[in-house]
Amino acid sequence: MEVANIYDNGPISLIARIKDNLSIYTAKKWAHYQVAYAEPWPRSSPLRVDLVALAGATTIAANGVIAKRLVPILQATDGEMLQIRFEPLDDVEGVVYEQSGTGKFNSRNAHARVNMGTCIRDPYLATTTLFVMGYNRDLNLEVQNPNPVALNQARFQFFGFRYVLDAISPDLSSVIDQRGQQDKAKQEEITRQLAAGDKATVAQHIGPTTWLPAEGR
Amino acid sequence: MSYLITQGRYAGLIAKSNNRSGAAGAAVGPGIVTTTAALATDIIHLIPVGRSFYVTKIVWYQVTGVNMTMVFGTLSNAGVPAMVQMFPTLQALSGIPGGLGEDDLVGVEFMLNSQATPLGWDGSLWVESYAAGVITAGVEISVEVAEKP
Repeated sequence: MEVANIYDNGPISLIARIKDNLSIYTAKKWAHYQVAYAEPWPRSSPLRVDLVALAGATTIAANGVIAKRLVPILQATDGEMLQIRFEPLDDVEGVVYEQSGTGKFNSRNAHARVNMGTCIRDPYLATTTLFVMGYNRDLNLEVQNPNPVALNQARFQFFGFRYVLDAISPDLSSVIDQRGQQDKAKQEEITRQLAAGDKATVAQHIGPTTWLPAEGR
Repeated sequence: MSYLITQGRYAGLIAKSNNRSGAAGAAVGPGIVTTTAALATDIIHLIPVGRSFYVTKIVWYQVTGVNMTMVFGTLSNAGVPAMVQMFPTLQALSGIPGGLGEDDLVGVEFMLNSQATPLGWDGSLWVESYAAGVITAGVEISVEVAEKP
């Protein structure tokens, strides 16, 4: 099977196969993983959430907002990563935050939304692709109602892939100095370069990898 | 739902009905808007934020015993908003229901134009009814629109 670019404009497909490497920008540094397991997350009712119900409300007000909130079905655990696309099933707009304070799909002056029309020009919802990585780095979803009437529900449908990742810890014991001793300074420098995402260092000590942003970056 | 919602120029648009069908134009689910007075403008469909829409169906009925004209359009951004007619003037014949479908209606796209008067308008669908010397309240109107998200 061919592995997709991470924001492939076609049907969703794996970004890495089992035993492939992933280099993920998360928690303000690059972390390197090997895919231990991957499985599809089919579009289905358990991956559907009604933000009106989740917020404990009866409606989303006319031109109103449901404040951003955690979506429990998208919570991952340590070593788990979700590759997700989504769309609203009702006439509302979704605003994504990864971690509750970091806007996803935003720029300096704009924060893009996903609405019912997104799938018209982008039938595979490729532009909604996002990743949720690990424990306590959750996605938050805000809902906007563009209609001048209140709506009774604001459902969102998610689907994608789920990965289990093993962290890669390269064996640096062969990094020695001229006296044949462990070169601690050099080893620390390599570790620092790996966290900084230096491509040459990663190529040497991790091998081929797919570079991936997480948490809205 | 009309077949044109899924085909042709309305492909992929969101089909809806009049959303201002509550008392005094209150926003409610789809229903029937009733005109209130001669030459008064009554709102039928308030344009959603960031959208435009086409009108795909208008049906009407009036029981006042007098034929009257109806003008459908949007309102100018003037201090006292004026009707900006978007469709040819229609006749509501007393006691006879009438209607126009997609094939009959001009394909005008209702959208907000936020410029100051006289250039701008609010983009929502309004109706104004009139018959000489008659309080033309009570024309019951229902529409369907196709919103472009």
